Amino acid sequence: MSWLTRLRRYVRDALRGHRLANEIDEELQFHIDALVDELTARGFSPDEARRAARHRFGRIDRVRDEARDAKGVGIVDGLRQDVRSGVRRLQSEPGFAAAVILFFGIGIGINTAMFSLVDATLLKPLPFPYAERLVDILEVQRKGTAEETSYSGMSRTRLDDWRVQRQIFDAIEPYKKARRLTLVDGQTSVSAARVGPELFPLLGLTPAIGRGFLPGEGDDHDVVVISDGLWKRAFGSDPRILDRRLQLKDVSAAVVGVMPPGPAFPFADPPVEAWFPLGAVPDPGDSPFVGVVARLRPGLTPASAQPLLDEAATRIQKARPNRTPWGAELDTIDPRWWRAANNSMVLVAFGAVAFVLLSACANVANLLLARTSNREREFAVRRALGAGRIRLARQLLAESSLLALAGCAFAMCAALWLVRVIGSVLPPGAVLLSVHQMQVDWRVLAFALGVSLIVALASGVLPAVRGAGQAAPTLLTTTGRTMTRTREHRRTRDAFIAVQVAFAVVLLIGSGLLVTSFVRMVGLEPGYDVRNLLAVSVTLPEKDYSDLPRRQAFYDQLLETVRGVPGIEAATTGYPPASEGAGHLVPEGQEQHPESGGPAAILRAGPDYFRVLGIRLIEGREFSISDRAGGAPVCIIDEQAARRFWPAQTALGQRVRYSPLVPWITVVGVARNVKTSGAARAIDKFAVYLPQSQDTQLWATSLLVRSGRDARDVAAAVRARVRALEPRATMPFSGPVEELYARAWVVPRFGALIMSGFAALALLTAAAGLYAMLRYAVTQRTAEIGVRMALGARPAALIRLVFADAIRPVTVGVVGGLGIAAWLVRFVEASLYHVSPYDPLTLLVVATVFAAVAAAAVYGPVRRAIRIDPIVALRAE
Amino acid sequence: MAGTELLQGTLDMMVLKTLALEPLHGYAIARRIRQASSDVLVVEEGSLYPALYRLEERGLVVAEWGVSEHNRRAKYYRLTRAGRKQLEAATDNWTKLAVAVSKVMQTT
Repeated sequence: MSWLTRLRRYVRDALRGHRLANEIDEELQFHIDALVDELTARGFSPDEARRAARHRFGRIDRVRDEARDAKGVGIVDGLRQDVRSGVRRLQSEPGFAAAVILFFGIGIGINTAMFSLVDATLLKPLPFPYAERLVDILEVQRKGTAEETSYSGMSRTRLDDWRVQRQIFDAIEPYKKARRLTLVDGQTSVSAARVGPELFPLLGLTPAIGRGFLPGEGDDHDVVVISDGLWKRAFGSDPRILDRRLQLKDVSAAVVGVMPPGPAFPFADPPVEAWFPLGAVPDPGDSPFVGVVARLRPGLTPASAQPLLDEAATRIQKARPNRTPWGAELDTIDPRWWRAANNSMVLVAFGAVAFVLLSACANVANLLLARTSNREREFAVRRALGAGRIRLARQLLAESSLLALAGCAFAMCAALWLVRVIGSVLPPGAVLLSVHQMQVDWRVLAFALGVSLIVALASGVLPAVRGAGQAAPTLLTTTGRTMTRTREHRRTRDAFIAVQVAFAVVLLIGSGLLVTSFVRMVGLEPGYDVRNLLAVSVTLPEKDYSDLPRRQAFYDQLLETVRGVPGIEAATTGYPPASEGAGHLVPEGQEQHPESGGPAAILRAGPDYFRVLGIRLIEGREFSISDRAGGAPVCIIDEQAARRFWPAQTALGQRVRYSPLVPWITVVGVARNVKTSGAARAIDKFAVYLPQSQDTQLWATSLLVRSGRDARDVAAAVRARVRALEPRATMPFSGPVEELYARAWVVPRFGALIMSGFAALALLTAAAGLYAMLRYAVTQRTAEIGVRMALGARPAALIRLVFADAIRPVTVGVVGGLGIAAWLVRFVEASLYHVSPYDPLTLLVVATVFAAVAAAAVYGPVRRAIRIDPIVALRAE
Repeated sequence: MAGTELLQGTLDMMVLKTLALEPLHGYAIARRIRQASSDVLVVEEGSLYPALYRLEERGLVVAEWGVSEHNRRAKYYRLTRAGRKQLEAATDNWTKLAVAVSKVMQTT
């Protein structure tokens, strides 16, 4: 029969399965009737004839089945049958089914959820339509070969200069950083930002309701665009939102538009929910600088735009002489700075997911293999009774598919649920989640599902097909199992266990390192007294304070006032050590070799700074009245700088500078090291302190206040004093100094947590696999153990026997895992803080954890082995 | 002789031969074979119908419903051209085999 005909019949039969089955029944029934007739004709009574006919016909079911099989009846019908019997089978082994489904859930579900988290925070690019063309413009002051400092933000005149460069940017808009405003009810706070009128079109965003800003609205503060979240939260999704006004404590504005759910620019924590238009005229109280986002012309990349940028910068400077020379560079607007810094994080994330997935798959495979090998005897018997090999395989396939499907369904539910839970539980802390909502990554889910399905089906069906194909007599004549098959299976199982253990070890080491690193970072002594130390940053408005003496007078007066606040033990002004400002410190004589120096935090220190903060000076003196504005520049450097630059002599009297644009500064004191930032670096920045009295800018500084009670209570009072003195002053930050460090911890903590999550999963999976394998081994060897016990073996010997099965694969796994870890550890090296990749303490902890879990996994089977009753065991054979 | 096991191919061949004369239903085929072999060969129903279906799958016979001698619905099997060809080939092989085996059995 041609294959086409065969196919047609196949399809026809498949669709008409039921009818075909009936036809067979009818045909067989006719045969029986004919037989009865014949027997009756021969003289049997009808009843006897019927009985005889049935008897002659044998078990009609078997015949019917064989007939059906030969006909390849009804795929659908057969499938239904297989499914039904499969379900019944699985119901009789609930533990096994539950275990397989659980591992599916772990391998796929949790894994995908965690990966989705990593994806949202690390992998996915910015969710704007023109994401790759959006840039920030940095002003770079360069002198000499390598020294440079770059600044983000620019004045409005500079912004206009850039706007004209249409050959580089087709759109450029200013914005102001988000601030927290309070609604008129006094309770709810809203994060609000002011943005240029064309910002939404620049980003490619359009409001879902209403409109964005009109060009003329820049200076009109009576309009606002709100976010979808705010619309729901504060207005209850009022469909007539465009008639409402947003009532804030100081401001009321008409709502002209509602943005769809999605990313909010400028990125902030908590995310921006209200946008006001930013005008050409600066507000009183504003700093003269604005943030800038620009969109490159299509076809330009940051790299290819650089020459154009340089050219434009030169042109702009020629038009405005008498300024220090500067250049321009482009930077990304993506706040997830770790993405650029740590591309290896991506690999680590993928690696961890793959490990856990494979580990879980290994368990699924193991379970299924063990089960099918148990049923070999059953298959042999059925084969002897005439069942077709394909039939058996089909039934196994149905069972495996059922398990796989149930497992996948469970996994998908687990993934979706987990993603939602994680998304709501994690503090939108840090700009981590304000960029992307947490979502299940369908690619990863599909991939994991695919892999697991293949694994489940393969391990469920293949061995059975092979086993079922074997000649029946061989299998039946032994006591139910052949030695060769057992050995083969054992090798496979051992391999699986070893692989799982290796994965678990690798992930454990990775997470151990990250956790240790984080703990070290957090636990690092600040070097000064942070208890009850409050920082309130203050920025003066440009108007009325254009004169430096005026600014100095203000801050002096402010300090006096603040010192009078009840509950305050001491106060000073200056930059807290965790400040962002940075330069590159080099000693005099070494300016040609920038690598002799290092990054340094530049900290302004007001009166009594060192005493108030509790920073000890080990050499020299503090700043004093003699360090006046216009006098010889002086500085105090920290211990590590002093030791690095002048290891053999005193640093006092030497000179340093933190930028090629400033003159050399004389060192008059050396202070103890302080923690300058919370960021993960192998080396902390140097700290160089400059007297505030010699600050030529002094637009902004911080009040550093030590209070007797909890710092927050005092904060409000301090802020009130500031406002009383200058209502237009802005206070971007106000809170305990410790908070400044905490900001930088979010990423390392996150990384450590995630990695530990993966490691725990892998470890549990390996432990489960180990437990299952040992239990199976004990069951297999029940007879042997029984004999040994009858012969007087002691428990210790039995335990050793059980262990023997486990020791080899586990050892191989551990050694392999250590080797792989040693090679892979380079990928996390960049994230480690004061931790060597081969940190002995970490390894010790990892070893202990692993040993404990392994012991727990082994405990059950061992106990079982010891308690075997030799008589029962022997009889069971 | 009860208990003689027939090779599957031999049964197929005999069924084809039986159908070479005229279309028959399953029961009749079994009866015909039994009669032709003088009650030596009793075809088990469990072997007959699977054999018939296999032959049908291979396109050597076709089946259609008809009315039996007692006015009952029955399925009749008919030989196809391919079936006839297969019958010739099988008969040829069988004859050769039988001759060879008897030659062996006659040597002392």
